[in-house]
Amino acid sequence: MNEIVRIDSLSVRDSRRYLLRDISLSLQLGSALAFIGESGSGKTMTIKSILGILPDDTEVENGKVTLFQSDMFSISDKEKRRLLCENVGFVPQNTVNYLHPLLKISDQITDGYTRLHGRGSKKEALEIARTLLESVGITDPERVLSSYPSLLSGGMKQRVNIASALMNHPSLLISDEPTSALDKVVQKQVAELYLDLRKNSLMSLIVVSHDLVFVKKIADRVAVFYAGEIVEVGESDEIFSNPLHPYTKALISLSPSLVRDKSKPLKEIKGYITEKDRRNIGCPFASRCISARKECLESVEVKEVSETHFVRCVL
Amino acid sequence: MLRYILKRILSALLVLFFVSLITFVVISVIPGDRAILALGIDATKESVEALRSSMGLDKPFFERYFSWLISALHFDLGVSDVYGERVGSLILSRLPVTFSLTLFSIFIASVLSALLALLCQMKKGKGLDGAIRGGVILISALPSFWISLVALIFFCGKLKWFPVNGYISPDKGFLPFLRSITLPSIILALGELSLLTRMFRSSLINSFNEDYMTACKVKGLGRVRSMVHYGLRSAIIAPITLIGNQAAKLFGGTVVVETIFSLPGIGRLLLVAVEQHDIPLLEGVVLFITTMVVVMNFLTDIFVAIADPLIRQSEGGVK
Amino acid sequence: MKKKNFSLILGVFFVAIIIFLFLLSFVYLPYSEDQMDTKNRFSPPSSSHLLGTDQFGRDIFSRILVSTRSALAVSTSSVLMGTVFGLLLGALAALSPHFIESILMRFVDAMMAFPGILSAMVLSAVLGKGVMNASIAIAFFMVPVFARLSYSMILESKKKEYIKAAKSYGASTPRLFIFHMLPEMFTRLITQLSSSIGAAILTESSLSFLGLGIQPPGASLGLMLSEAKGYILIQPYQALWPGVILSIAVLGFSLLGDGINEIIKGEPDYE
Repeated sequence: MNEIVRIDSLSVRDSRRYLLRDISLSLQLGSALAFIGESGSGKTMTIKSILGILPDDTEVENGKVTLFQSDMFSISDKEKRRLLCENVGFVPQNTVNYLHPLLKISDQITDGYTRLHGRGSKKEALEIARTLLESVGITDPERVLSSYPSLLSGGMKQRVNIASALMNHPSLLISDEPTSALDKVVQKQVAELYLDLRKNSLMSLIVVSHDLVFVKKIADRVAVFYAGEIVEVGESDEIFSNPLHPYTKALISLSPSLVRDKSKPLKEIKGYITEKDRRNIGCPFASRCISARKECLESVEVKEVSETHFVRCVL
Repeated sequence: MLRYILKRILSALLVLFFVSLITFVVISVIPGDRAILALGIDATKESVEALRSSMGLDKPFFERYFSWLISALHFDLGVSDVYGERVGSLILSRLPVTFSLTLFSIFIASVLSALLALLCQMKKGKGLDGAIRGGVILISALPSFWISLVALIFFCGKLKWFPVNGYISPDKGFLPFLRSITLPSIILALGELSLLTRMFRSSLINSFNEDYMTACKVKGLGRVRSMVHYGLRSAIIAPITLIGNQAAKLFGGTVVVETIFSLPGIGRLLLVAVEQHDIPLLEGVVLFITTMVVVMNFLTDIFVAIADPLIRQSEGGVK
Repeated sequence: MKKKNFSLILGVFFVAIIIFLFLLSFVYLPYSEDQMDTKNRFSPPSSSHLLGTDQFGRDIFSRILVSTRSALAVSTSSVLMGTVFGLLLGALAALSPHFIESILMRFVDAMMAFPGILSAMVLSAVLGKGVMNASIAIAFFMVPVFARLSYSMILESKKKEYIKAAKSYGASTPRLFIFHMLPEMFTRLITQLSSSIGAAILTESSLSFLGLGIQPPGASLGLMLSEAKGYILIQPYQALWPGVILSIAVLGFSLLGDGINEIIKGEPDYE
């Protein structure tokens, strides 16, 4: 019963192409899972499927998402809201209007809490909000609470979002690139905040990040996304010490702060994800893979390396 | 906020000044010499001069304008040539009709278009959405006097739902009064339907596509709270501005419907003034209507500023 | 998949009907519009009177044909006058120093405070009745609409980079206006023009309906409807057809405006 998120062979598409293909994942209570991969590879889409906020023009073609033992595609809207309110916190990717421009922060940050604890709990909620805002590095929470979002900088807004996600002490915190909008100093602060959260609570985490140093520090497990598929998933140590998929290898070798020799220029993976790659029956990475063979274009299958480590590659 | 209101008041006053200037120039200066008009071309020079000085027409333009403006500021708009009554009291006696007509029709138009837009939003891109959008354009393009004629035959002539002629004042009973202005109000409302529905629809759709609606879902807020507190909050601001502006326009545009339904409103007064060349009455009515338009637009701006903190912030300082 | 631009198709269709009737009135007019036939008053539609006759026995079809002339003449001339003065006024305001700019725009606001039918009525009272005066009267309320249009467009394009760039190498203000801003304004102008013509047709017929526009025995859709008012139970056709044609004209031009707007703003095609 400790499995809090489970995704079984999920495929999501819009009118033109697959956005997610055959995604399977699971997350245990108290552990941290990181999604890595380049932009457009399906990390955010996977998170949206978990939260039940897929865009209107997409369609779940196949698969199942189970969140706290509830099937997200079959429970009622009301149950879904309740479930998310009680158990899940979400920090969005840098978005302009995630905070309502016409509402004061104090109204927006507290309403998840008052939803759970009844109308009379606003005072308590404000108290908690103050503490949380301080813990995300806001020195003057009172001023922030009485402001409208337009007065806050991008970094401030993102910290408000983090505090807002933590209001109900969720057992699962989902964060979509929580640090990408922030400057270096704040980035470090927020990263430390996440590490603290990991250390001091049983909170489970799903984090999307491009910062592999951060991922290595925080995650127990890592899923590598490419063109809407998970190409490799495994324990963090295994992925970083023994990457098996050519794409994972490339990603890790390219990460500037992990293994980079400062004298050489930054390397890159040649090419980009083409529309053709997404429609391929074979491996979507084949056209960019340095060790691709003929059969890569025809088929690809998931190999079990160990009980915890899977890779979608024929090599 | 205070600064914003002060700025608005100043600009409204400037607009009012121009409004009065335009009114005065157009009505008193362009038509030529009122004394000659009154006495005919054959009149003797002496009698024209005498009338001119008694009407104050021999004074320079700005003196005439300012004395007119100052008495207007004291609610003294002169005496009507046709009725022989004070223009101010004539307007006041006609005001309730036009005012209730305007209010009632903008109310009908707003409620109806908000509901239609909500339907569109829920069925976005489907058949019903398209049907409503097409339908309101069609309805609003029909000339009001034509619909009025058709409605007169049908509802008042054949079905006898509404009284054919005339207006029943509210002191003779509120319901009969309501009945006498219902049909004209609906007809006026139909003309506003297209613009308002389109505005409501687009701002609803925009607002419900915003990220904060996702935030509501993820936070698990109730459907009602997210719709009312988050979704509608932004969605009504643009329509409110439009409703205010359209109400102001409607106020000056009731003349056709008033004529057809024989309602004794300000529009009819205007028509009489125009037909009879009753200059003091014309000036008074025009100045009154335009002032009301400016005031209504001003109130709308203030109301919207209260609802939308972004306006206060962005326009509070320098423009 | 490309969505069909229904507004444009219908708009073009309706406007084409009106223009066809307008052209037809010069080529083929069954009767003169003021030719009375007292023996044939209120006659129903027949082969000799396609849409029947009115209270003086005048042919309704011929009167409708002639009415499209005044409708189009008054609306286009008033919109053109309004456009020229409005655009100049807006441009003047946008290119003036701040103080003059705000004074001019308050003046535009003041003109805007005269509801269309009000200013048209007042001006026709002052200037007298008739086609030319009706056009001027209607032009008055077109002026602020176009002034605001050009004002906002110039302010927007002032902010754009290429204008700044052109200024930096010394292009003069009038030159900027003609070569850089005008083409951009043109597209939005067309949209506004089309819907304004619709509004002008409606105002002209309202004026005539109130007896302040086209005078009898001339023919105008509004005048025809006003005359029909008294005989609506005896001769419903007399009120029906002018209303239908008027609706088609108003609807046609406003749909045409919407349709053109859709082309310009239209969603880019990804496929």
